[in-house]
Amino acid sequence: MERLTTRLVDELRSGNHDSFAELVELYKDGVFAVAFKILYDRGEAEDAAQETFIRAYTRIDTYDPQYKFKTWLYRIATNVAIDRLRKRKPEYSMDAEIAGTDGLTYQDHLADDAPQPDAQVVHREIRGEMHEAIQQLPDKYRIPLLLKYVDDLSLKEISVMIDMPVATVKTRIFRGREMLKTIFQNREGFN
Amino acid sequence: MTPEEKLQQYLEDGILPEESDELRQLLEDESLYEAYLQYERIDAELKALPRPKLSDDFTARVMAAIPEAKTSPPATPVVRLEDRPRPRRKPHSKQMTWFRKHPGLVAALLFFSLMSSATLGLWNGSTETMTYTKVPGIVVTANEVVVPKDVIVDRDITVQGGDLRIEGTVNGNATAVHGRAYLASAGEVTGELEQIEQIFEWVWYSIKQIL
Repeated sequence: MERLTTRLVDELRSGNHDSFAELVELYKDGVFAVAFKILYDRGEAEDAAQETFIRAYTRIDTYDPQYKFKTWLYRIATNVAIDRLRKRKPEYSMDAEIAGTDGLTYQDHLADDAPQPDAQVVHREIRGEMHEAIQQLPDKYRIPLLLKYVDDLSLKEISVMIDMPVATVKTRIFRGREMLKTIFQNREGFN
Repeated sequence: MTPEEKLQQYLEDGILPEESDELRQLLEDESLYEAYLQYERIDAELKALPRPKLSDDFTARVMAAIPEAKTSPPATPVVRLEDRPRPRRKPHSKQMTWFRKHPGLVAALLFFSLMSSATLGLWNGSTETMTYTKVPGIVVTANEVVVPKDVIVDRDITVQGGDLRIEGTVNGNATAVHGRAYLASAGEVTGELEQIEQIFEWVWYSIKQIL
């Protein structure tokens, strides 16, 4: 993949428009995953992914081939997504109830691609809780922690993406997990 | 690194053979063992979070959206500009939005500007012609009102747009707006002798008059 990417980037730089489509195919899922982890909204993440590729295309000259293309691209994706996160109106929430429906939230509009056999039932509740808990984390902990769970991003890669030293990234990931643990513990204490 | 962070570290990197003893030791502590189980669960759940899929036409849409300037530099840019979807005009300019956001402030400003222009008009008008309280016995010249010697005025006296010279006695307040109030050595004012030059004083004076 590395060599294919290098070839495609070279072709793109020499003006081959079509090689970009191949690059998009190769990296779209990763870019979308990064954007989704940050924005937690399918539609917005897709828009951010699109914006990422358009930016990458127009700024391909600034890409330094001695670094990984993936990291460069993910860094753009992270910036685009974080920008959108900041611009997002605070009152907008995926968990807000849709007017005129009985307890239906925007979250319910998400396509659930997983099949739902009976075994899934137990898990669904846990996932809902996890989703809720994640939303409670401040951005600075949530973003590094969730990025850690995008495929196999290394701490080094995340540190480049969010422009922070590796040690800080690590601390924030640990701290984020610890906060999740506390949230769950408190919840169990209530029940 | 705190013991809890160590646990997370193990979860993240796996355990090296030489570390297994250390981990075992940590896990002997009940609360740390609990924490470890929790972290394991959280880790598994984070891994299992739903991953939505991109729309199938994503690549096509990206390719349609990218500017094609690079592939064909001498292409006809004028046509391309027109082809491009026009940006929707913003419904309101920045000022309009601001106005819409602060209707109270706008109303207050409007009121204030109208009010102050009216006040200013009155104030400036007061310099043009001389008006004064008509009291028997006073002498009026082009721009001066004189209370002569031996004349006693038993009320307030006000001159606007001219000077006021008091040689006699005024049993009340004597006020000169936009002019000077002189009190001769033999003159006497039982109330206040005021000389109003500033608009604010005048406004205050006017209010006092109304009250």
